[in-house]
Amino acid sequence: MSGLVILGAGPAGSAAAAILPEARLIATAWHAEPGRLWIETAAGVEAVPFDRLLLCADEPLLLLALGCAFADGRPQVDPTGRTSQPGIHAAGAILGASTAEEAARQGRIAAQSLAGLPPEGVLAATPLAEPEAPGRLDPLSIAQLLETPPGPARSAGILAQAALRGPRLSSVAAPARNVGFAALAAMAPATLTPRETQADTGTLA
Amino acid sequence: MNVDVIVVGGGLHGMSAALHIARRGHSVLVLEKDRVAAHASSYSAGGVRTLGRHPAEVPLAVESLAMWHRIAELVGDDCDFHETGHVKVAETAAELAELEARAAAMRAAGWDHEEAIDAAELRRILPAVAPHATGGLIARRNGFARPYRTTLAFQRAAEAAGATIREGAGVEGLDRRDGQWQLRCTDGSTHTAPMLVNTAGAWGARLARSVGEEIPLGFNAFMMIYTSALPPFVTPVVGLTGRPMSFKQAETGHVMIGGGHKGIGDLDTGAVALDVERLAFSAKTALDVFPILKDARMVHAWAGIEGVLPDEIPVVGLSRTVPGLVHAFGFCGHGFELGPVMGGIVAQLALDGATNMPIAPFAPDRFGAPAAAGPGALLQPAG
Repeated sequence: MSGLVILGAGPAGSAAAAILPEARLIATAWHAEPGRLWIETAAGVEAVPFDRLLLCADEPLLLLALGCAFADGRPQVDPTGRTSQPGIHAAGAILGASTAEEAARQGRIAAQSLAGLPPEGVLAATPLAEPEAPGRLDPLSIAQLLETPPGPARSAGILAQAALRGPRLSSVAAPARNVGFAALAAMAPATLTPRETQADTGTLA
Repeated sequence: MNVDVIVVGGGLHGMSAALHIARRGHSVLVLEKDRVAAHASSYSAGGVRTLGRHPAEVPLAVESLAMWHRIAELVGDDCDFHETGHVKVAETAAELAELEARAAAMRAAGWDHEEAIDAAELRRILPAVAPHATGGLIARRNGFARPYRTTLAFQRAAEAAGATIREGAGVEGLDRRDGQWQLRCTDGSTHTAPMLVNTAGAWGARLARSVGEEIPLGFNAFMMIYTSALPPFVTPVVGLTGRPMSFKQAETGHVMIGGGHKGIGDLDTGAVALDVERLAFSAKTALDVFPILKDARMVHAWAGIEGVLPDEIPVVGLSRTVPGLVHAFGFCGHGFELGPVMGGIVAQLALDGATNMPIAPFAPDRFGAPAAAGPGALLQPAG
């Protein structure tokens, strides 16, 4: 079932959920792709479909995976929390809200926008200092970076790598959080039809 | 810029070609539309493998393997090459029989680098392998290296020899007049040379098409996984006989799993998208063969775009439609090992018009002709 999903159960997510009771509230996800979040629970790995998403947790790599634009270390948003991708909003910790009150205020504004209500104010991301990228890392070094505990330093390091690569190869930052190997394997189908080679009839740039 | 040779494509094969051309005293310019090693050359599995190759590739792969064992002499960097061996695991008696037949056929053809092993020897080499494994095929002098480091090492060596590398210079137009190629690039630059080398990887057919040479190149976005760091449990690179998988453990303990499951790529933007269900299938396959992974975490997954051809061997040779053009692209996910030798072959073709290496099976105009009889490759993992 598609619908509205709020990711992040902190002050912003909780405040938004009060305005959007029909939304599914989830704490976090390990990966995102257009229209689906991937979560891991005690029951295993599960896809959570969405057509609208409000991301409140400090998980910028999920927005990166969804193709959202970033500036100054934060997702770019309009005064109601709309990101550069249609249907995807951000508020609260992901934008650098420094207090629970400010996070809740941002969550309400984004939720009001999603509900079609007049927002009670505006929100804005708090810029971060751009970290110095240590040069392009290869996949093993990226894996080592992704293996470190989630937090601002890890996110900044990965965002810097993504910035070095530009909009291509968004998978450089994936997944946003690690996932159990056995849990992932358990959701594999019994058989898999190989994906056909992609054809190309293109010409020079 | 006016040079002797222009190389289009700044991956490993382009850098190797530039290195060999420059060391022969010729001026060479590499044009790269993005960044050096933007795709397969930094995102492959880094397998240095002669095992299981198509017979047409074997002479080149064996020659290249010898170069890998002295890679620092060639490029001034060991590229983190490790001689670990490659093992192809049989999971049934029929698969083991297939591997034994392959080893016998290779010996009959004069190659001794592949050796069939029974279940006991397999378990000695791979103590963590699942109990159902029945034996395998091993190439003991194979190994792996780090692709991005390798490509940068070739780049540095090429530049030290006099090559010029230009990033952000996609070729948007080319003409040949009076024996000279004239190239116009997306960064506004223009360049001329009598000889053009096409090492544009998955984009190689676009350049060929622009001079009227249609080559049926497709592309795949092969996906790879790194698990969390685990205690050492496997030394060789491992593949399977009946299922696509490559598997190795880095010195850091992280396990790389790849082998053929694909995401989605876009040649126009260079973007790739992962396919979680197919990543799960890769994880399931790896877990079947190495149950020790049950407590691991997947910490990274990525994909890189590779050019592939219908017969799963590359296009290497002089253009059949225009003079002054050499193709070397479409390595089908297993071109990394061939990088060192291929640069020398391309240099010979570009500078001498011929090579002493057996490249006839890779001719650009082979498509549409009846397929050659004889054995093919074993199931080859990408990378």
